[in-house]
Amino acid sequence: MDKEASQLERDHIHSVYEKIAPCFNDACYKAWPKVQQFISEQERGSLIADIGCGNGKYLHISSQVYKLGCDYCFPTVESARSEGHEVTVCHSLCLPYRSECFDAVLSIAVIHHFSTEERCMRAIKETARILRVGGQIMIYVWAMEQNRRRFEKQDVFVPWNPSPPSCSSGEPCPRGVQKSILHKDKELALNQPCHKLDGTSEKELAVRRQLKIDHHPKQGAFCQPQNERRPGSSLQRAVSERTPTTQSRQQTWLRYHHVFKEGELAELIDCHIPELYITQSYFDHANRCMIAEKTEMWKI
Amino acid sequence: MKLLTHNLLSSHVRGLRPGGGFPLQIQASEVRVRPVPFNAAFVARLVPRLRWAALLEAAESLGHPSELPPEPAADYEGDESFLRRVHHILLEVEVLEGVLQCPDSGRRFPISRGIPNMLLSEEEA
Repeated sequence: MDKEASQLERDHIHSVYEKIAPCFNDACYKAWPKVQQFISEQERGSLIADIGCGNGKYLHISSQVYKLGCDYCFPTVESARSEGHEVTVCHSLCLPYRSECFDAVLSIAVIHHFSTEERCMRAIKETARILRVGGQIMIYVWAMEQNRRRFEKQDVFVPWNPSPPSCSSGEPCPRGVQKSILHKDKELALNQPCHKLDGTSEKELAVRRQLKIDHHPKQGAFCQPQNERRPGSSLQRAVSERTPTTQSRQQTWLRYHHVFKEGELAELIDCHIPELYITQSYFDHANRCMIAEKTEMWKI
Repeated sequence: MKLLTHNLLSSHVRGLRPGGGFPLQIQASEVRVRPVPFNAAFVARLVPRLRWAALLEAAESLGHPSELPPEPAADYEGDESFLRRVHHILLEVEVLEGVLQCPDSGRRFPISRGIPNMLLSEEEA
């Protein structure tokens, strides 16, 4: 089950981010103010880890703290490095840090890319491991229930367009255009009906979550993931059902997300991660947000 | 990769004894020294967080003997000369190209353009 989940994430998250990295200019996306505030409120000299830092949107905030970013996607890490940030390449299920060495940890828009509950839990536990007792973690994940609409299902593929119409190839996109593209991508994901997977093969059941795909018939070509032809998996069958149209002038990349219901993230932490104590929980611009503190665990 | 970053990094290859992945041994082929603005309070706050012996060993391995004592003195916070030496070795010396080697497993992690690649395969993790 874990190997299938891992392969899914490689096909529908990691490989997508690698391909869109040159155009995924985080400078075009506004940093969430409450995340900025969280960083700015850390004591001088604090050590902060940004897990899934992308190209470093939060790494430039505050010169009073030492920030270390990491991401699975090498191109985006290189981009962050080019801005002068300290970064590493790693997987968030196996962070290359010694235990309890950070004062604060960020996990912004990362956990929702894990394809099983168990992997979400492992990812959060791993961030808790590197956090010192008394340190804080901030987690942002996409919410299922949005202010104006809601996703029909929790497991979705969200399209991302690497070639916004008003940008020429290789040039950075104006902030407004990228923001509208982001908004448009979410609109596409929210508006489209989900296709239920047929069949309940043993392989499908082995992956704990059924994946439903948001399919926009007019969107154009869906970029096919690598290694998609694996017979017997309804997941892969669903992926292979997407067909390119010859009329498409743009490619669209789909990224897998598990969008979180109200209370789901809190329940995951309360039930499975006793070393974290939730101190704040709120909704912020379509995200479920949480701040939790690392507590000392006593062995009896 | 600054040496402050190195002081936080550890290998987590499967099967290591507790603490067996730290400190990573540095084999550097390109090192850069670049000035960074000094902030005494910032550095003083970092000192108790450091694995001191690992820092000294890392500095030595890069050919930048730090002239730091075997342990910080009790009154290190008021010693600007000491804090400046710590600042230099933590933040101004960078490994741009090289390898980090896990002390227990021998697993090698490349550093390229200042970025350590700490990815493990699924079999190793």
